[in-house]
Amino acid sequence: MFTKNVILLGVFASTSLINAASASTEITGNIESKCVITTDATGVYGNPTTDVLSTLPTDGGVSPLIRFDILEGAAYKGVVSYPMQFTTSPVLNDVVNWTGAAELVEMSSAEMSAFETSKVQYENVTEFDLTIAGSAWFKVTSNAKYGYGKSFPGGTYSATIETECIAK
Amino acid sequence: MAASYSCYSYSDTVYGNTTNKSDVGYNWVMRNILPQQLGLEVTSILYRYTTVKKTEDDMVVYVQNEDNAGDGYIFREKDDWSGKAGNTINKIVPIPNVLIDRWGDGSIVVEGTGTVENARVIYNYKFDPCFDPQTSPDCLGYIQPMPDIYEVDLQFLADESSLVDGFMDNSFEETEDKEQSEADRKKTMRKKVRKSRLELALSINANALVMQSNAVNTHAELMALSIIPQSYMSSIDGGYYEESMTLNGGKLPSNKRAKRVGLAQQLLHKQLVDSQYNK
Repeated sequence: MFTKNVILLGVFASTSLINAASASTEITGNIESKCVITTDATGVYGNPTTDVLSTLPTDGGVSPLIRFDILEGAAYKGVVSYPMQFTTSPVLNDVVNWTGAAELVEMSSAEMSAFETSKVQYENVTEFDLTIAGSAWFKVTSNAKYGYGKSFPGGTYSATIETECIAK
Repeated sequence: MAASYSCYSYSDTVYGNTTNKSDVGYNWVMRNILPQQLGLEVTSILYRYTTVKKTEDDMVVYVQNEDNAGDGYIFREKDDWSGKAGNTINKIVPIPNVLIDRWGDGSIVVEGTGTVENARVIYNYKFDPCFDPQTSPDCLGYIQPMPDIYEVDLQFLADESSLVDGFMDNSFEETEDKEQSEADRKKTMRKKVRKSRLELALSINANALVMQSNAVNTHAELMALSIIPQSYMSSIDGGYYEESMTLNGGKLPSNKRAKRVGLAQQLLHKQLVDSQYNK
């Protein structure tokens, strides 16, 4: 019993001598984004014809609504991408032609109206310059057309809209 | 306008909100929107509307409430859409707990070129149902109200004095000595009136007792004279008493004497009646 204790002390002394030679101190930090994205309404695809899936209300769909809460103006860029592929679907043997759009539909300040007028669009991406603090609601539409007048096979279809707050 | 109310129990703060429908126009009467609850405070306002305008046009929209305590506004939010594309605004404005008394009529006013559509203004409020503890016996600090106590009109005492005054006051040109003597006389007269009323009140009761004792004595004297039959004082047993008389032979002959008397009386009556008409 006694011997075991001695051995343990010897190991401790040896370790202390090693630490005295070099030391490293950790610094941690956390940044909470000043831009928060919330889905206010999820989308639903309507099926007006056998070859079309659409979120437009006129096609029987529901357009998703995404809210950006911007706590600090001119610090972020909002990026909204409408889908270009299904995340789940039956096996498809033909191409799907995707279209869509993102637009500012509501805002907490009239100044934010500039988000819509100054937006930049390329491919399936829409960028908004979030210059004003406040809340902004973006509506995204998505339309999928199968082949050339070809009917979608029966099954469940789902797609995802990607949204980001990118720090400037 | 329609309002939704939350359920609550007494002493809990009640939170609620109103719904302002745009079909009533862009002017609204707060009395019809907020529940008329004592101590109610508006905590925030949420409004939403869509502007229809050309980007280059100047347009300013005010969402506002008049201040009942003055000429200004208790709440006025300005949205400047000048040079901006029309869109939908959805804004929440915190209010530093302003009591219901201050909230005057509300409106949405547009200055410049453009219109407002689909407007909606929601008032979030809170109130303590026991703001006035007397609202309910369940409230802390409730005091059981005292019953109404009717006031007794003591004016008749003054009237009595005035009657005496009026009776005694027969001259307006009295000297101070005379006034003093008159005052003494009035005082004496009042005493006499009070004394006579007191004597009268006492005599009514005393006389009643005297009358009662006199009646008892008289009754005893009459009974002592034995002129009142004892049957006056005895009681007859109740029950059914059968007829004890019988008619001999079973035939009752007519009383000719009585008939004659009756006819004579009838004749005399007729003569008396005719004499009034000189027949």
